[in-house]
Amino acid sequence: MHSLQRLITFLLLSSVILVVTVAVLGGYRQLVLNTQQLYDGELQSVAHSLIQIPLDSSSFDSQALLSTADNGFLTIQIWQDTQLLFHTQNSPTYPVSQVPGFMDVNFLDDRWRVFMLEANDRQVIVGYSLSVRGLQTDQFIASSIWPLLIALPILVILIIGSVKFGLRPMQQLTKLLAKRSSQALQPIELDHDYAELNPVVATINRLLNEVEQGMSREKSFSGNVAHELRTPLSILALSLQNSLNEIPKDYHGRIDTQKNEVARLTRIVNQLLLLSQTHPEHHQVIWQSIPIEALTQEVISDHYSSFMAKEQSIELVCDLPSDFMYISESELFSSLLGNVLSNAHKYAPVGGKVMLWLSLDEASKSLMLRIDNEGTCPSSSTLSMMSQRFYRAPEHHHIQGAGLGLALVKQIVALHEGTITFMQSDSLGGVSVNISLPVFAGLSA
Amino acid sequence: MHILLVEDEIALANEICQSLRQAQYAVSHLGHGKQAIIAAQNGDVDIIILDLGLPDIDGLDVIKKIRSLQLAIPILVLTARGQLSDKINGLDAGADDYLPKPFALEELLARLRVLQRRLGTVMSSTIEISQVSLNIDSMLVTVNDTMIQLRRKEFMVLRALMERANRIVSKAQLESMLYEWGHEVSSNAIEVHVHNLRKKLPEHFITNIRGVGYCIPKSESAT
Repeated sequence: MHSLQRLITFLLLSSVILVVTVAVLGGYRQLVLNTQQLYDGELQSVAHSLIQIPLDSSSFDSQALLSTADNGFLTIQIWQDTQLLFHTQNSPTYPVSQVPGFMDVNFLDDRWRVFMLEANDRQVIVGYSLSVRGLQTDQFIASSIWPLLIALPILVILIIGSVKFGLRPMQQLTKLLAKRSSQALQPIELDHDYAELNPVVATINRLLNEVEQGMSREKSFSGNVAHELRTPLSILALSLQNSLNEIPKDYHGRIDTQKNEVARLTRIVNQLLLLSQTHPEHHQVIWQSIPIEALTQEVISDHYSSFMAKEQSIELVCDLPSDFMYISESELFSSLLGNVLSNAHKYAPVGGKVMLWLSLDEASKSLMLRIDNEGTCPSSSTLSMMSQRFYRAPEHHHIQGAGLGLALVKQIVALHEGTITFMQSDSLGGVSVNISLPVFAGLSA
Repeated sequence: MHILLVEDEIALANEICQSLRQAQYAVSHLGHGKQAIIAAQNGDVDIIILDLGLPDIDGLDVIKKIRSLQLAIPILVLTARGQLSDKINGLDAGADDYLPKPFALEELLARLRVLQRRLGTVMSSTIEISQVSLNIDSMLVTVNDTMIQLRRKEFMVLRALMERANRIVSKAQLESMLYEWGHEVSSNAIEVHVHNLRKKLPEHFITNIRGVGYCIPKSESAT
């Protein structure tokens, strides 16, 4: 993946290095030119003073001239007519230049810049070694470039730091957004305002707000549906109950059928609502500590009348540590248990048995819930399809139900990040439902 | 026993009123929250059944207002919303009980009986199930009209089970009830009491649901 911070750092560093290099090169060229002009001026003035010196007079001290010039750098030839009057050690014995003025020539394995001046049949040729001049220029340049070379790494560090510092608000925004789950929809707030980021943050916040409103509309919609359906159902149920007292006994059978159908309708509405409310995408679990054994006993107690009506027996085997608390939402856990229990009851024969086991699996750190019933077990292909929404086994179509219960159970298990499996019960012969719910570390009491 | 029903849905209110009258309660009906607050202030109301969704003010505000007026009338909340947060909010605001719609009449009557008992104005302090009759005030128990002798703790266990007939009462619940009455409870105390009770009561009167608790099944609804 590309990184903006790396890109900006790279661009800045490249620009700085390019500009510095160009500037140094330009400076070097200028320096070379200036040095040449300076040295050339020197050559001219030396030539002018030598042309006027009377070489035959006793005042001319050739040794002194030699020692001054003979440092290997400066070369001097003085010719009178075609006779070499004076020359330094580093010059040959033939005239190195025939033309007045400046010239670059080669002699004695070196390249020289020479200047020839001619007056009264006397020719004065002075020159300096270009390689020595080059060395001196390089030394000069090097000493002025050193500070720049030391400054460059410091500049690099400063640039990297500045880019990082300057992009901090963006990184903060990235971090804030990365941490977001689909349910954390509160507006994003940066520590400071930035002209570049404000429109982005404002847009994100506007979208978050819209999503939140949409979600709350969806929530209140199911709430409204609940209200709209539950109130007429309440009226129907009560009205039927009341009419039982006013209608002759002969018609009670009919009223009872209606009462049962209303009860069935109520169950379906409740399950549908719960199914939509507990949809993992918009259900926010209000996690709380739940005394699982007591809650299970309560749920069994709630369903006990229907067990009694079918003369069925139920047994709970609780193998949990005493005072074991599980972190869940009591309503969710109750519907989970209630739905599995009512299915176990429905598909067990009259006088049949239902067994419930609660235990803790230390290895997988999970709460294990197993519910077995007496009766027949559907084929293995049916078992695997059982938790699909609205699925009903073909052999069970005579039993009342919309097939929502197990879909709801599966959804609640998913909210707990647990697993559910169906198999044949080895002890009772019916279906064995095995639910494993992870105990979240650090949360369980 | 005068019950004030606050419900804006007229059809539902009529049915509830009729059901309650058949159960021998005196019922008044109001459709607005503000009226309910005034009626509660005027006295002469023993229990309020309050729907949370009212046209004028929120039901929760009605509860808060009544409680701020230092009125201790028991309030049973009805709601169609049926979410856990509604229940918590209702009870936090000062409601005594909570019943989500749609509810069975039996359930409503059972909750009313609990509130009544709390008021200490239960019309009949005798609970009868099949051949067994238990009088809460006199602490007398008869089987087929013959009085039987029960120890105090045995009576409490029997009373708890008979009051919650058809529901399973767990061992822990029974223990906590005895504990509330100031008794030290040993680990197998409940089993011992139930064992003794069973010897004095008709066969199969108390059912043991293994791992869950005890229950007294009741075939027909009788108060």
